[in-house]
Amino acid sequence: MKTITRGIVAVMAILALNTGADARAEDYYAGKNLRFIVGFAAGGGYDAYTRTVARYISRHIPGSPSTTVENMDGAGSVIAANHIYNKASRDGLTVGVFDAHNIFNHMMGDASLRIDGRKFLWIGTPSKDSVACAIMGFTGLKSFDDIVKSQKPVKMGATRGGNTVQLPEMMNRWAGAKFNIITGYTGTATIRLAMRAKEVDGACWTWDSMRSTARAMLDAKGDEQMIPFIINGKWEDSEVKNIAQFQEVFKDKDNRHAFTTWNSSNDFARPFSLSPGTPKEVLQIMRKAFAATMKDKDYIADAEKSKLTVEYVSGEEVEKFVAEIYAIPAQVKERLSFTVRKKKS
Amino acid sequence: MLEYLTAFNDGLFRVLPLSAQGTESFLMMMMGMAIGFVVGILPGLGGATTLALMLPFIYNMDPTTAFAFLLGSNAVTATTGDVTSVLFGVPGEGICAATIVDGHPMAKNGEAGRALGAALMSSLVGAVFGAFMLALAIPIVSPLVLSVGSAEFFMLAVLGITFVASLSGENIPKGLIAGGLGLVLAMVGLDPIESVPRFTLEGIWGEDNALFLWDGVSLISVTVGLFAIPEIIDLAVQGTSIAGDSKPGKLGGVMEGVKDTFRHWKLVLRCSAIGAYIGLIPGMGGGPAQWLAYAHAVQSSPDKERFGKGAVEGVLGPGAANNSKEGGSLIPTLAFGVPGSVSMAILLGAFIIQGIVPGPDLLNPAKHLTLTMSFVWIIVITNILTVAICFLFLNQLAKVTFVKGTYLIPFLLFLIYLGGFAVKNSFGDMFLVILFGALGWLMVKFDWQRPPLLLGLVLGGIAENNLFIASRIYGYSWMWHPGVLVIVAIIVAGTLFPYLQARFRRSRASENQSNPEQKTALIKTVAVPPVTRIARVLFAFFLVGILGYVVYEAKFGFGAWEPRAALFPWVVGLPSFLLALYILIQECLRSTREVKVAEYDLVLEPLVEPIVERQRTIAISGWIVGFFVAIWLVGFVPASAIATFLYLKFGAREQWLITVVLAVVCWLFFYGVFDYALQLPFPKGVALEWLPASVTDLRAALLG
Repeated sequence: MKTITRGIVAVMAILALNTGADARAEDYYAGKNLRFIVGFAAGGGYDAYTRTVARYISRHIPGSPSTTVENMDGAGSVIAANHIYNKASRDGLTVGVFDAHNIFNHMMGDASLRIDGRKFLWIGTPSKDSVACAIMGFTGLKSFDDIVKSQKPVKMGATRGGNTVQLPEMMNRWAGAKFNIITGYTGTATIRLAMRAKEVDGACWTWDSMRSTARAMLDAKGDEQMIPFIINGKWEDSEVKNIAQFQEVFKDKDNRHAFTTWNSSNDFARPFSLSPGTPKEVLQIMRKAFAATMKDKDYIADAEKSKLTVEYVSGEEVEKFVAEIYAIPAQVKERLSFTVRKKKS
Repeated sequence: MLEYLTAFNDGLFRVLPLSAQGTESFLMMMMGMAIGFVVGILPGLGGATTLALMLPFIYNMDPTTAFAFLLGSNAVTATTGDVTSVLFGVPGEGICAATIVDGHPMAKNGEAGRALGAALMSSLVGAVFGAFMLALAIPIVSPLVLSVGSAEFFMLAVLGITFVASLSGENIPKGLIAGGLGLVLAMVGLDPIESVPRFTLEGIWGEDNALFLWDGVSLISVTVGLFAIPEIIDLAVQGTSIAGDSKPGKLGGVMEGVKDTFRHWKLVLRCSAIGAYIGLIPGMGGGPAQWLAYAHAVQSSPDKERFGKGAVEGVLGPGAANNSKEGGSLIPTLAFGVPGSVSMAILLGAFIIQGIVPGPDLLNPAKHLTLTMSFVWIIVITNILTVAICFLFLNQLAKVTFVKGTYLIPFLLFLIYLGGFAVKNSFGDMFLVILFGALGWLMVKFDWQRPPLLLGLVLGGIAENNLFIASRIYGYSWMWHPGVLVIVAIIVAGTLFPYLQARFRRSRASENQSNPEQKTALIKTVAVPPVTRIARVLFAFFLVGILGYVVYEAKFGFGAWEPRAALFPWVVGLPSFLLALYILIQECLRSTREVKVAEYDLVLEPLVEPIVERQRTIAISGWIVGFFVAIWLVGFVPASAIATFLYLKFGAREQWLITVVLAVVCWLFFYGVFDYALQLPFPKGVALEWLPASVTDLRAALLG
């Protein structure tokens, strides 16, 4: 009996000593499972990107761990962001993918976000979003100048928040537009239908999405045609090559700064991150692996087939974006006060 | 015209094994069908998530084969999803919940086979109807879909809400209150116009947990809780099998159900039309079709009191509608690239992967019309095959309802909790299942109807969104839109018609002079025991409290600083609150209740002694909560073994052998299907996190 007890104590001691193992690059991930937690439901853009990355990242991580993707949707990925920040293990085995706008919203004071963007360990992001707005042919208006000159209250369909609401707001406040923002639509798909039904005149969301899901409307002619009139970013596509840029129409310096800060979330859309407190060496392993995946032939082929754009932004660059967001001057932050969700005063 | 027929023909040949390409498509269609079959039957496996997981496999397939695979799976989930609804009262798919209301009581009457036959046959009819509507509607689709603007959408929701009255059974005020409660539940979460948090209870349990309610209360959790949990309690209390004391008879068989479908062919066709039309309207989602069809089945029946107790029409209606909806919802997806549901959104992703642009191209004979027509055939063929295969073993499947209830309970409880968990991979939904389970049981006990609540829940959001959009865009002029006026006419006709029908029948009856005596002879008055009276009053008081809270919040809570967000809650909450007060007073004063002569014997000599009933109810409630705790403590897979073992041994006092065998079977099933094969992200179990690291390492080292 005594021998057995001593034996057990010895085994426990050995194991206890081993739990403080350091993360040697060669075998830290060996035999382990890497969990990706996506803040949105299966089938959406975040999920598609994450699953494609998860398929190929393992071969670039020494030890080739197995990968699983889990959907933790709810509250526009706030739940996932909070989980990664507060509850996920700090051993580098849980990677979070959530809406970059959460960082901006936290900086603006949204208390439902129990995070600090600066403390996340950013691995990188596989894509960027280019915001754009479009209007329907039946309005007779064809460009941003047309819209402002006509002073007609153009109806923009919108969901309850995000790009669809905030972009028209910004143009109303800072560029002299008179958009009538009709919120309440359940998604960009229903807004598109309302545009075809002539219930609303236009909407704002991302060019990445427009060029694939609304292709039929872009290719239509006459009244049925959807005409992009403003965009952020340079594209070769003929529909948007020469239209107005957001930065051009916002004349005031502080307004432009405000837009840049607000838009930076789109410059690192769908970021992958590790929980605060994860060892630096682990972060390095993941950053290297991610960068390699972005150049992986098979990843690029898959992304192309799914019509996912490949626009890699490194973890270091994401850190810079985040730092800039939090370094926003007070008077610029003031300009953006309308983006904060209403709360009890 | 000719091109459409040619495409129709070619579409068929593309999926039949008569050529190399056709054979490949056929095989993938079979594979998809097999997947959809299993996904439909098992609660906790969603059709939409499965579709998302299937997407990567289609990269190297040609379009017809790819969609034979995907659509083959999606098309049959609504068919097999009805199976568990009927047998166990647990919906296999969210859209199959309405089948429980009459399908499961049929199983309890020993007519499981008949209910299954009816559900499957009506599903087949519905699927074929939806598919052919897709084919026929293609030339005229654009104006059809675009005619439903936000104003018309709102009116359709209002029309649906008026169906609440017909679902209320004998007590209209109670039904209206339930409907109002459903509408209020639909408003939990961030409001759709400006993200104002409504009824998210931050004051009670902190902002962190309130986040869970931001997206509202999930329909599946509410449905599973309201219907499945009371069934489990009932099963444990009765102490028998699901079918109770009924003997399996010829009349309960599958073929009888098939005959029922043809006996009531007009109803089946009407409900198929309802389902297809609702599917056609993007944004309605899967919830309304089944409940509106159910309500219509009730409304159009001369004898409404049979419903809820095993009326086969209550199975036929939703069975047809939830399948025809699938065909209908393909139309806006294909014609406009606007998905009508989550599964359609994923199918849209598949189109993008295949490089096909949804829109005119898919309806163009020169381009992809043949592909579109092959969709029609895929839906038809997969459903025919699925139903045929099911018929082979349905009668055997129905025998499950004669298995001892205690053997099934642990398994069913896990399926219920899994169904709740899988909605958002969150414990919160499991908790909602328990909460609504308690509410559902109380509602059954005290004679409150549940379907109106569901109807309110599925339509509330649609009504509110569209009302605000319409008033923003059109001011008041939306009220004169032609579409709106048409729907108002339908509402008026629908409300007046049953009333006129009843009056007509009454005047006919007074000619015969025999009805008054007959009527009183059919009903007996029974005294309500004091304890029950107190309980009924308390429950009514509880409802008054809930609705009072709603009204308070709408006026002084968030309503004080955001009146627009409080408009709907106020408009719905206040009348419901006043009605609830009326019912409260009624319950306080009521000392008798009316019982039908047929059920009178049960009152004199209940199947189970009241004392035993109370004991068993408390016991099973304890186990239901216990299973939840077990899952929370040790995770799904270990709990499936441990909790099953504990329940069978100590709760049901079964023998050792059967206990161990069932515990192992349960564990194997959950581990094998959900953990190993599907890798659902089960949480680890809180207790395991409390163990010191060295012990878990030791465990890992030992287990390799």
